[in-house]
Amino acid sequence: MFFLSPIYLLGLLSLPIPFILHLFERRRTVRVEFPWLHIVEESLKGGNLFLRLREWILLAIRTLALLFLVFAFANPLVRSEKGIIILDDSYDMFAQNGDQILFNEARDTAEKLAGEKGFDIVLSSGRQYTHQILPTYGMFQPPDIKGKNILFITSKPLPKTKGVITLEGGKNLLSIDSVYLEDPLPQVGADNRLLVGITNYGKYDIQRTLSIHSPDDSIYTEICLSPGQTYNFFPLKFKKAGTYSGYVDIGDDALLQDNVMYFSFKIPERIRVGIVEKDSSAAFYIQKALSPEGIETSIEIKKTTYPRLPFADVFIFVDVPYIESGVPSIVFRGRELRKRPRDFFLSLKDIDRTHPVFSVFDDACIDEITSRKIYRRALGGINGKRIASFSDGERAIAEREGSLFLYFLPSVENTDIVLSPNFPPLLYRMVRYLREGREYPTMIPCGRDARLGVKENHSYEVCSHDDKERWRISPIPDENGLCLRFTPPSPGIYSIDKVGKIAVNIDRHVSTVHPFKKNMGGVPLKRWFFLACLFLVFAEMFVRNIRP
Amino acid sequence: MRKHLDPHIIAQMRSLELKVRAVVDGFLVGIHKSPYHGFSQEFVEHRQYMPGDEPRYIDWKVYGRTDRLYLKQFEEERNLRAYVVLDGSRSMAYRQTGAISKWEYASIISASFAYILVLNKDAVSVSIFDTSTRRFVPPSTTRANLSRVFDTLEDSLPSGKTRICKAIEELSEKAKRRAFILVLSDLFDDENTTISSLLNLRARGNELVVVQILDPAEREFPFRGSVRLRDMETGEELLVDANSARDRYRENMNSFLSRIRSELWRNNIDYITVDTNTPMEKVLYFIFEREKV
Repeated sequence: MFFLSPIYLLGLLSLPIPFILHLFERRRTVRVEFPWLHIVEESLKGGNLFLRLREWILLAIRTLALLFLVFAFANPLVRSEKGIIILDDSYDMFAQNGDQILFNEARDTAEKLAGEKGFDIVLSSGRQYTHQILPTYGMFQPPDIKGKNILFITSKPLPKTKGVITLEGGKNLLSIDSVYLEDPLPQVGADNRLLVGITNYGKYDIQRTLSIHSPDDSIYTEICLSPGQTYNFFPLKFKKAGTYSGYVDIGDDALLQDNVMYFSFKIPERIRVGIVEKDSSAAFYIQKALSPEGIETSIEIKKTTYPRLPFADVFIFVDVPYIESGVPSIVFRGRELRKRPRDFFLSLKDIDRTHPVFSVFDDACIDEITSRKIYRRALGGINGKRIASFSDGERAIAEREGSLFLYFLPSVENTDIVLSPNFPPLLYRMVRYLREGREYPTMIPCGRDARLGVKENHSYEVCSHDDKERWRISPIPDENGLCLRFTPPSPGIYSIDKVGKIAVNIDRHVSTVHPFKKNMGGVPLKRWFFLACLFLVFAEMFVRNIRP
Repeated sequence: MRKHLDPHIIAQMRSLELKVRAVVDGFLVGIHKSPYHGFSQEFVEHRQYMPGDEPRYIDWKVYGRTDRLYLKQFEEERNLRAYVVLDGSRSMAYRQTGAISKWEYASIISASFAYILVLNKDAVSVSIFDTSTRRFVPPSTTRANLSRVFDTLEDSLPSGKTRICKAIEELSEKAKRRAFILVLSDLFDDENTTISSLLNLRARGNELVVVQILDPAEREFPFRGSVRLRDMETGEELLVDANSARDRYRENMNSFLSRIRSELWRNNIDYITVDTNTPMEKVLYFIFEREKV
C-alpha cells in the first residue's frame, strides 16, 4: 500500500489524543467512599469486567477511527493486478526522429508490450487511445508511477526508475515555459527586458546556449539551468514602432518542440494626448509629468479647452465634466465638494497591484505613493472597477469603459502627490495603458482563436513563419469594430498583411495535457477507509451506550 | 403529640448530653406515661378487679377459666441489667445523604437509652466493638456511670473492620446473668455468623433487640455514571457503572435485609431497620414498647 497524499500522514501525530482522553476520563471518574462493597460486587456479576473492557474497547475504537481517517485523507492505493501503459502524447513526442515521429515509435512499443502482458494503453493527456492521434500542444507532465503497476513510455530522459521506458532520441529535459516583456507596455527607445522562463526537469545543472532571434539581430547566451524553473533576463530596446517578433531557442536539445517559444510585441507609435483643462495649474503639472525636460518620450501633448476637442489617442480631462467621446480618457475630478480642504486630507491605499498601471511598480514605489497626502475634492460616483482607494475607503482611482477616473486634482493644493517622483511614471503608465491596453493579444497559446483588430473590410492573407501555410480570411464585426479571427494550426509566427504578427506557442498554463490521474495503476482505498471510520464512529456510540 | 425531632436539628447540637435530652424529652412527651412497665417489672400475684382499675392489667386467661376479673400484680425487678452493644467499625462513619453519620445516630440512641434506664435506676453498660470489643463501660445504675457512658461515646471514633460475632462472644462472657441487650449496628458482616451469634445470645435467655442503622444512600445507591467506590473498611476499590448496577444493588440489599429480618423474627429477636433520617424517638418507642410498634 502507498499513499498519494502522504502529507496527511502527519495527522498520525494526533494518535496520542485518544490515549490522553482515556487517561483524562480515568482521572475524571468520581471516587466515593462506600461502607461495604460486598453487595455492590454481587450486583455487578461480571459487569465490572465489562466496564473495564469497555474502556479499552472504546480506546481501541477511537484510535482506529482516527488512524483510518488519517489514512483516508492520505489517499491510499494498493498496486492493482492489471497494469497500465501510459503513452506520453505531449507535443515533443511528435518530433521527427529519423524516418518516423517519436510518438509512433512509442505506440508500437506500447502495443507490443500490451499484447505480451495484457496491459491497457492510456494517453498522458487523458484522451482516449486510438491509432490516429494528433499532438496535444501540451507540456510534458511526468506521472507519478512509484509503487504502481504502470509502464510509462516517453522520449524524455527521466531518471532511471522502474516502470519508465525511455525512447532513443531524448537527451535532456528542458522546456521554455514563458517569454514576456518585463514592462508589458513597451515604447520606442525605452529600455525593457525580455524574461524567459525555463524548466529543467532533471536533477542536475545543465549548461546550454540560449538564442534569441529577433528582426534586428540574434543574441546567443550561455546559461546554466538549475533543476526546477528559472527566469533569465535579456535587455531589449525597440528602435521603431510596429511589430517586434522572433523566437527564443535552447540549442543542443533533442526536445525540439517545447524548446522554442515565439514572441510578438506591438510597439506603438507616438501617443497623442489631449489635455482638456479648466484649471491651468493642474494642466501645468500634468504636462510637466508627461513630458519632462530633457527626456525623450513618445507622448505628444496638445492643450485645449472645452468644447473644441482636437483629435487625440488619449484625453485628459482636468476639472471639466466628462464627455463620452469614445476616446480613452483620464478624468481628474475636483471642486465638487465645497468643504474646507483640510477635512479631506487623505492618502492612497488598497492599490490593485495586478492592474497593468501598477504592476511594474515595486514595493518601495507603492509605499512612496501611498504615503503622499491628497486633498480629496470629489466623491467616487463612478461604478467602475476600483483600482485604488483613499484612506477613508472612498474610491480614489476607478476604471470604466476604457477610461480612468481620479477623484483629486493634480493642482497646487495637491503638491505633495504631484511632486512625488512616482507621479510622472504613474501618469505615463495610465496614458500608455489606455492607448495600448485594449489591443488584442499578440501572443496566444496553440489551440485558441487568434484575433486582430482591422479597420478595412477586405480579405487579408495569413502566412506562417516557415511559409508552408498561407490562406486568406475576411474580417468579422466585434465590439471594437472589425477583427480577423482564425485558429493557427500549430506553433509559430503568423503574419497578416499590413496588420501585424501573432506568436503562437504551446503553453503550460493552457495545456490540454490533463494532470495524470493519480489513482491509475492502483486500487484506491480511500472510500473504504472513510467507510471503516464511519463504522467505527457508530460502533463507538453503540459501545459507549450499552449497559452490562 | 408533638412532632418528632428531625435528626437534621439534632445534628446541629454540640454536646451529646444535649442531644440525648432533646431526644428523651420528645420521647417521654410522646408516650405520656412512664415506659418502664414494659420490661423491668415481673408478675407476682393476682387481685380482684375493682372499678377504677386499669383495664389493661386484667388477666384474660384467668377470666376465661373462672369468669371472674382479676388483675395482674407486678413486682419491680431490682437487678435488671441492660447491655448496649454499639458497632464502632469504620463503616459506621458513613454519611452520604443522611442527616448525620450512622455512628452519630447510634451513639445518640445508645446514650438516650442509657439515660432513660439510669432514670429508672436500672443498670446499663455500653460496649463499642469493631473486630473485638474496643471500649467497655461496666453495668451500673449510678449517674457517674452515665457520665462515663457519655464520655466513652463522645471520645470514640469509628475505625477498623466489623466482626460482630467476636464482640458478642466477648459480651456473653461478661453478661453471665439474663439481661436485656440492645445491638446497634449496620450488620455489614458475614450474614450467617452474625445471625448465629445473635441466636446464641438469645438462646441464653437474654432479651435481645437489634437495630440495624443504614444511611439512605446504602439503600438507594444514588450515584450516577462511572464511579470508583472505595471500601471504607478494607480500602478495596471497585469501578462501577452506577446507572446499570443500581437496580440490582437495590434488589440485593433488600433481600439481604429481609433475610436478616426473617431469621431474627423467627427466633423471637426484635429487629428493626432504620435509616439516619428516621426520628430517633421512633427507635426509642420500638425499644421500649416493642409490642406496640
